[in-house]
Order: sequence, then structure tokens, then C-alpha cells
Amino acid sequence: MATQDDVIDFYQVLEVERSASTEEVEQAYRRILETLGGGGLALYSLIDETDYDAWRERVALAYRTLVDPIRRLAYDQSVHSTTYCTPWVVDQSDSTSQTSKRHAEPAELVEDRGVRQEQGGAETEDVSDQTLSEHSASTRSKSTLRPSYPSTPPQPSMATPDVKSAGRRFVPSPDIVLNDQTEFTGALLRRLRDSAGASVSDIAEVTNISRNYLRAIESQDFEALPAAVYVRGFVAEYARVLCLEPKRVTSSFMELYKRASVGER
Amino acid sequence: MLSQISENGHATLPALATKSWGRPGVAVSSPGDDTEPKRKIIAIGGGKGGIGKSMIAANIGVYFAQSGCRVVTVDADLGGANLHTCLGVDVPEATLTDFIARRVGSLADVVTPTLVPRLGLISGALDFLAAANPKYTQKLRLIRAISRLDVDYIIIDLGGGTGFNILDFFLIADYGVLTVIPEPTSIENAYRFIKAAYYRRLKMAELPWNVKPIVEQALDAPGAQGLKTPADLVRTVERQSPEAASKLREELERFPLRLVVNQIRSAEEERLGAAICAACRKYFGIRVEYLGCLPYDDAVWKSVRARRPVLVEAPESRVSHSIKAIAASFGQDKL
Repeated sequence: MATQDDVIDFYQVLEVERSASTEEVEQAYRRILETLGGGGLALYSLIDETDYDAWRERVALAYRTLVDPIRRLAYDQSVHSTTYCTPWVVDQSDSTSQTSKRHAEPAELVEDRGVRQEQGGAETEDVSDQTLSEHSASTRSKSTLRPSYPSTPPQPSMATPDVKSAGRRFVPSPDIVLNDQTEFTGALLRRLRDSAGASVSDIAEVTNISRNYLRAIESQDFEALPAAVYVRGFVAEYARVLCLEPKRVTSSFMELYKRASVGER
Repeated sequence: MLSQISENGHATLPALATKSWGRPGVAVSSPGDDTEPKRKIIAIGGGKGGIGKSMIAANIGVYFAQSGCRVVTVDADLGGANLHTCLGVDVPEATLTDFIARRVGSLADVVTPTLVPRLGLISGALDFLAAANPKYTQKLRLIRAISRLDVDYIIIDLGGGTGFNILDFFLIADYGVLTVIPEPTSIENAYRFIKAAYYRRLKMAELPWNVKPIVEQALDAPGAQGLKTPADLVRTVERQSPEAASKLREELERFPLRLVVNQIRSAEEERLGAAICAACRKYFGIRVEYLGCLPYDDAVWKSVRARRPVLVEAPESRVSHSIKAIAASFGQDKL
């Protein structure tokens, strides 16, 4: 079950090491492009045809992210250290204080993130397992504990100027209160996006996800969406540019996706 | 012609070569000369029918014969032989069936001369019921006999499909050439063929005693169909034994395939060959050498209809030039 529900791993998409240099990323991308010669016919029966477009989109996204040092740093810190904290996400002028500048964000959520980070530091590799354990572990009682950081550096390190300038982010209105129990439906995502003053096109531009897919996510039109693994990636990206915690949003949204596909059967 | 040869008692090809289809005075290679590279076997496969395997095999044979080499083309399409038609030979009197059924003494006895000097044909079994599925021992005897033919080049035209009989002929070749055309069905069959050939090779390969069981276990394991590619197999084996996996990787490296893309109609399709090679490297971990492509050319069907090889019928056609370029590339590489 590990692969199906994984967050998109851009390194895996391009089949490069985490430590790959920009040149290696470029080479890997060129190798994939080569296989697209002849109208993509060479990939027939190697890659699921129904997911072909989604796959191409994913490769392009992975490349654009990893080849750009700034985006890559942002991606690494957001996914592979699983730290989602607010400083780099908030485009305030003053970022000296690392505790959430995220306006009226509920305190538990912030604390809870600290707990996650701790877990993330312990197991950065197996993303899917982490998603599961994290789900069960992030109880309210735990979230009141002040976490320690055994292996990952504390949050301030993320507030580097580089990261701050990486990609555009849209900050939803703090009036929409989010907590542990929040169900991230398509409608809620749209509300958050609207409140952040971003259009679907804005999101599409930043995430490289097609507008049609974004609209399908917002309207929970699961039939119009590709396989679960891609949807998860799209939703994670979407959440990221909305300054939301991708893991929380994807696990909640994918729950809906699963329920819908079970209902179909 | 054949009976004539037999009556003369020329049972072996050297005699045959000087007598009927060799050009006297053209010394190509002398038997027993160990310094010269021995005969090369080129197998043309592709896993699918109707993609030009016979046409390519026949014309590569013509090319080598015209350049002064002694060549035998073997129609190993045991169920649907038609190489003789491509070479303009009437239904041959003696075929592989006669050899398999031991009605003739040696394989050389079933070589039919063609209109091209130095180019002989061993026709596939036309009465396929008897020979389409030779017994294992019969096949071994045939393979041994083929590799002992005393000529410079042996071109084997394989049938469609990925049966063991076809794969085994493919695997004895010095040059295994895969033919594809720009159609999904052909591409799919080609990949199937690559996988099947690779697995077959691993089964037959001489792997260290402690590696072989692991490989066989992985190949035979329930759900082995789930092993999508040779690279998957290596990963599966790696879990058991990293040492075995590295042996397998060596085998992968030593499995050089060649690729010819036939019936190219556009510049876009010209890029297909390189794309397939890249895909094989990426998804199978297999090195494939791209030999080139052949244009879709009316000269081909015209020559088939005239029942003459296109290299003879239309030597200046685009496709003829492409075939010559591809044939000339054999022996120039170090694979």
C-alpha cells in the first residue's frame, strides 16, 4: 500500500538520488524526454496509457521543481523533512519570530505540527507509513506537549530568505478556522483559495497543475481526475501554495476520494 | 538444382559454394583458418508478424552476398515460412522438415541456391504440422547444425511470437535484431519479446551455483507475472542476495540487442528508435543499440510482388540504401 497513497516524490519521478546535482537532474529529465520521441509510442505498454498525461505533467513538475535550487529547497523542506511551519509560508516583512505569524491560527494546530516534525525527523524515508502513524499519533493530548527536535533543526532555519522567495504563496483569510477535525473538502479548498484572493488560474500557474484538474478537485468531480496517486500529488501541491499542511489536507481529501470510489463499486 | 548437388556428392557447403553458388576465384574465408573471425549469426525477430522481418532478413543476406561473403538465410518461421518468396525462390524441394525428420544427412543438403550468387536459403518447414514444434533434442540438433554451417553469415528469420523455439534461435545469434514498426501493437510485442528473451537467457545462463536458484525462484515464484521488467527481477533478487543481483546486472549488460525500425513515414517516427532504446535502458535496464530505420517505401511491396529482393529489384531506392547502411553496421561495433 506504500506506493498508491504516497505523496509524489519528485526524486522518484525523475529517478535521481536525493543528493543529485542540478546537472544530474537535467540529465535524468533529458533521458525521459528521449523516451517521448516518436509521439510517446515508445512508452506504449510500459506506462499506463490512461495516466500518460498525468505522468507527463508530473515529470514536468518534478523537473521544474528540482532543477531550480530555490524551489527545490522549498520542496525538500516541505516534503522530506515533513516540517510544515508557517514562517516561510507567510510573506510578512518581519520573519524574526518563528512562532506562527499565521494570524489567528488555532494554537493546537501549530503545536501539533511540532509533534509531527519530531516524528518526521525520526523517519524521513518512509513517507506513507509516516502518514499513517502520524494520523493516529497526532491526538490532542499529545499536541499540548512541547516537542524536542532530535535530528531535524528547529524551525527558524526554515525562515531563510531563499525559501521565503520560493514560488508564490497565497495566504487564506484567518477567518476560516481550521483545526484537527477539519475535513478538507473540495468546497473548503475553494473557500480558502477565494479568501486568499487567488483564482484557479493563479494556482495553476504556480503549481503547473492543469486548471481542469484543479476545478475537478474543488468540485470533487473524482471521475475527471486521474489515479489516486496523482490526485494526492495535486492536492499536496494545491495545499502547499495555500500555506496549508499538505499531509493533513491530502489525507483528509483522499479519504473523500476513497469513499467516493468505494461508493461506485 | 538441389538434387544435382546431392548427386555430385557435395554434402558440405564449401563444395557447394564453389560448385553452384560461389563465384570461383573469390576467396572469402578458408575453412580451418582460425585467425579469421568465424561466421556470424544474425537473427531477425520482433515478436509480431507482418513487420518486415523476412524482407529485412532477405535483403541483409543479399547485401552480404553482394559484398562477396557466403551467406545462408534460414527461415526459422517454422509455422509460416515465406522467406523463399522474398528471395524469389519457388517452394523449395527440401526444407528444414527434411533435416528435422532426418530425411537428409546434413543441413547443407537443404540449402537452396537463390538468384543472388553466394546466397543460399534454408527454407522453413512448409508442412508445419511435423516441424512447427520440434522436440527439444531436435531443436538442439538444428541449432548445432546451423551454427556449424561453413559460411560467413547466417541470417535467421524468426517467426512471430515469443515461444521458446523462437527465443532459442534468437539467443544463439551473435546479433539479435529486433524489428518494430511505429504501431502500438508492434511496440507492445517488441517489449514482450525483449522480456521473454531476457528471462529465457537467464534461465539458460551459466550463473554461479548459488545465484541460479535465487533467479529461478524469482522467475517461478507465484505472481512472477507481476515482475514487469528485468530491472524488477534484479530488484527482487537483490532482496535475497545483493551478490546474485550484481551477477544479473552483468548478464543484463551482456545482452546487447539491436533495433531496426521499419516503415517510417515521418520525421516524428524517425525519433522512435532512439526513444525505444531510451525506454529499454530506463525501464528494463537493457542496452539496445539502434541500427537505424527503414522508410516506408513503395519499392518494397513492388519488389515483393515481383518476388525479388528489393536490393536486387530497386537497388537505388531509399529503402535499399537504408538496408545497406544497416547491414554495413554489423561487425563494426564492439558489442
